Order: sequence, then structure tokens, then C-alpha cells
Amino acid sequence: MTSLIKGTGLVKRYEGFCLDHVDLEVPSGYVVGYIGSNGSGKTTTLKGLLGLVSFDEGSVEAFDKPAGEDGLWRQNVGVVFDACQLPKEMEITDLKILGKAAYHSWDDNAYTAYLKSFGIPSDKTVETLSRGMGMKLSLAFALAHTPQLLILDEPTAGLDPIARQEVLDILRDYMTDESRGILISSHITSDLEAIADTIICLDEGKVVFNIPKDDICLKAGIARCHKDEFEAVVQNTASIQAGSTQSGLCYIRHAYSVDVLVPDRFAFTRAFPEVTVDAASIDAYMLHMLKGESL
Amino acid sequence: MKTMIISDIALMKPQLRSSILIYLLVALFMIAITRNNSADDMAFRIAATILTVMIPYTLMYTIADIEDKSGWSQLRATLPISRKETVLGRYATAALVSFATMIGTIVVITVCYLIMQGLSGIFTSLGQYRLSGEAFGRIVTSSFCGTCVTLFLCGIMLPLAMKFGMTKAARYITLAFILFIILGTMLVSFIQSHFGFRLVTALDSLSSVIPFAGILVFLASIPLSLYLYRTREL
Repeated sequence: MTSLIKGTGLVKRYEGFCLDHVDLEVPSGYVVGYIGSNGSGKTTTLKGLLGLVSFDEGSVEAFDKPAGEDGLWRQNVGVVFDACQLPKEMEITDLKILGKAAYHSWDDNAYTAYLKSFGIPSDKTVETLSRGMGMKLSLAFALAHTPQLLILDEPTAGLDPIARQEVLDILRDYMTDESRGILISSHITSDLEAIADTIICLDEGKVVFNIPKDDICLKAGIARCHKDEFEAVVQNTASIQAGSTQSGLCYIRHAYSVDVLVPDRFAFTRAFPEVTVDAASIDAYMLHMLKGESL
Repeated sequence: MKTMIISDIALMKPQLRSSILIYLLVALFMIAITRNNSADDMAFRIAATILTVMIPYTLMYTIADIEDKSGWSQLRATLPISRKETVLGRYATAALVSFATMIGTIVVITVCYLIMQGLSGIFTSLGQYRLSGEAFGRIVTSSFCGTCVTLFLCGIMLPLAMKFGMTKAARYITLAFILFIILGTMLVSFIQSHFGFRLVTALDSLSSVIPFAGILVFLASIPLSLYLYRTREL
């Protein structure tokens, strides 16, 4: 398993914000979802990894080598930002010339095939496309040189459900080759539930959790406790947490109940069969980890 | 660097036709309404200067503006090109476009001259036209001077655009030119009143050297742009 990109101890200081010793890695064969609230530092991290901003501390390795300033390592990377940033007045067919000049492995036929499969007319200018079409065009441009790594900053933001599904299908197809990987930041956690293998959550510049998605969606749960049940849970915190990397049980109080994030909902159900436990979503997991109180 | 030049030319392509057309019409209008004197061919010289300054400068300004507003400057930085190549590519484009426009202008203005020379045989009111070696030399010189002015303007514009992006840089560019005019005027007055010689006369005698100052400013601004763009956060 190759490391496609790896950031270690990444620090970036702005006035009123600090990206604080962030570590992240995208191994081959993995889709890493990068989540967090607005202003948590996700885009800063992605930009730093790509060399668009410089980190104050830390190091970036791409394909197991230091990511050099010459940018040659980006031959193997495709990037899509949250809006289509291709020049608006450029004809879609002219992007071929650009791609061919930039990437050694650019494939005109692949680009044309992507345009065709996405239903993008090649004889128009970029500005005539809708937002959804623009994002698909960005993806076509990012994929046409068959990169090993895709770095996507909220690629499905602002897309309707059908367009979002199409983008996710494209990414699933891309990942059929296990030597590839994706780093994707998104607020739409249902998209990550569909494609991600690992979830990294950032809050105020710090990594809050970095765990396999299945530990959230298949294992963790939200226990809906009455107040007396919650007291019993509090008494057994240590046993509920056994074997979990989660530090402290997180809970959110409501008027008549308390929701507790439990790392293993099956073990919890065995210990507290009277308490209702729902499967956790990434949203619920993040909400409890970021906004919940901790035992 | 090749990627950057191709990117710039691709950005320029949609603007090319309208820019050439607009300034060509202005130049032709000037030639058509001015009664020519073959001793100085002033209208042709001005037309050549307009074309060689306005077309490349407008194009360079426009592509810097487009890439900034569309976010292309950010996406382009994720392509496998270094920041050094980005800057050098932009300067290469500026030089390429300026000199290509110069050659095109010489050809267009010479053709116009020949057409007007032909027409003046029929309509004597148009003035005197005789495309001698001297007249051709004047067209070439004016085109070259215009190109040097463009390079001078790009030498001021590009470092600012590299540092701030064109949206922000537009304000500083305007400020830079206003300051240049004000300080230049003050300097001329100061030299005239304190050293007792007419700067304009002195500049006249240096007129064959001054255009090269534009090239020098252009070349000198390359390391500055490299330095400014190296640390820019995109």
C-alpha cells in the first residue's frame, strides 16, 4: 500500500486561526473524507498540500517523496475545487490543448469520452454550462490524465441530488483501480457515507477524530437514554468505552432525554438492552464529538 | 513554461478578435481622417503606436483579470508547473505578444500606406504619400517604440498582478501611473529650475536610447515578479 499523499505536523497560522499540527494520509485504495465546520481549516489544509499556500511547520510527502516546489509530483494528481474554476470564456474543446501541454499522460480520447458520458457539449464555452455541468467538466479535466490521486474540495456542493449521484458514480468508477486514492472534503456527509473509507474531522484547526468510516456507520450508535438510564451509563463509562479510541463518551442533553454517542452499539445493547440505540451517521457522530459534553 | 504560454494564449483567444478589431478601426480611422504629409507621416506613426501599445497591453491586462476572477490562477497552480515557470511563462507571453503585434502592425500599416498612396493618385485631397525607405523606417521605429512602451507598462503591471491578483492590482496600477506622472512632472520642473537646462531637450537627444529603457524595466521586473509570486498565497 503506497502513501499517495501524507501531511505531517501541518501548521498554518493566520490572524485568529491556527491549523494546529494536522496529520493526514491518503493510502492507495482509500477514499479519505475530510469534514469539519466552516472555517475549521479544511480548505487551508488542501491548499497547503497542493502548494497553493505554504505551511509554517510540517512536511508534505507525495507518492512517498517530499512534495517538491517544482510541482512535478502533481503530474499524478487531479484537483477539483468547490466551483468550476476553468476559464469561463474558454471553449470546452480548447481545454484539451491545455491538458495536453500540462500532463504527460493526458488522454484526448478519455477527455472526449468523459465529456460524452457526462453529456457536456464540447462546442460551447465554459461559462454557458450550469453549475452541475461545470463541476462535471472540472472532473473530466481532472480525470483525463488518469491521475493516481484526486483531491476534491467540496465537489458536490450546490449540486442537485441527481448530479451529486452522478459525481459519486464517477468517483466510484475511478476507485475501481486500487492504486488510486481520493482526498475529499465535504459538508455533505451522506456523500462520504457512500464512498469514503476513512473520516478525518477537523475543528478549529485541530483533528478531532480520524477513524475508519465503518467504525462510525457500522459500529457506533446514538443511545437515546432517559435520565435514569443515563445515570447507569455514566456508572459504566469505562466498560462502554473498552476497545475504543474515542476519548470519553460524548453526550447531548435534551429536555427529557440524553443522547449518548457509543463506540460499539452492539456491545452497548447487550449491556443496556432497555435503551434504544440508533446507528450513528457521520453527521450525528461529528455533532456529538464537536458539540457534545464529555464524560 | 510551455504550459503557461499555452494557457495564456488560450485565455487570450476569445479576446483576440475584438481587441484587434477595435484598435485596428481606431488606427484606420486616424489614418483616414488625417491629411498626410510624406515628410513626417504622423498619422501612420500614431496609428502604429496605438496598435503596438493597446493590443498587447489590453490582452495582457485582460488575461490577468480573467484568470483572477474565474479562479483559474488557483486551479492552474495545481497543474504540474512551478511558480517560477508560471512567472517566466507570463513574461514570455508578454514579449511574444508584443513582438508579434509589432510585426503585424508593420505589415498592416505598410499595406495601409500603399493603399492610401494608390488612392491619393485619385483623391489628391488625401495628402502626400510616398512609401520611401525613410517612410518605412518611420513606421518600423514607431512600432518598435510602441512595443517598448508596452513592455514598460507590462514591467509595471506584472509584478503587481503577480503579488495581488489583477482585481486588487488594478488599483495599485492606476496609482503607480498617477504617481509616475506626478513625480515625473515634479522631477522635470526641479531639474529645469535647479540645473538650468531643459530636460525635454535632453530627452530629445536621448530619444533613440529611451525606448530601450522600456525593455530594461520589463527585464528588471522579472526577478521582482519571481520574488513576489513565490510567496503569494493562492
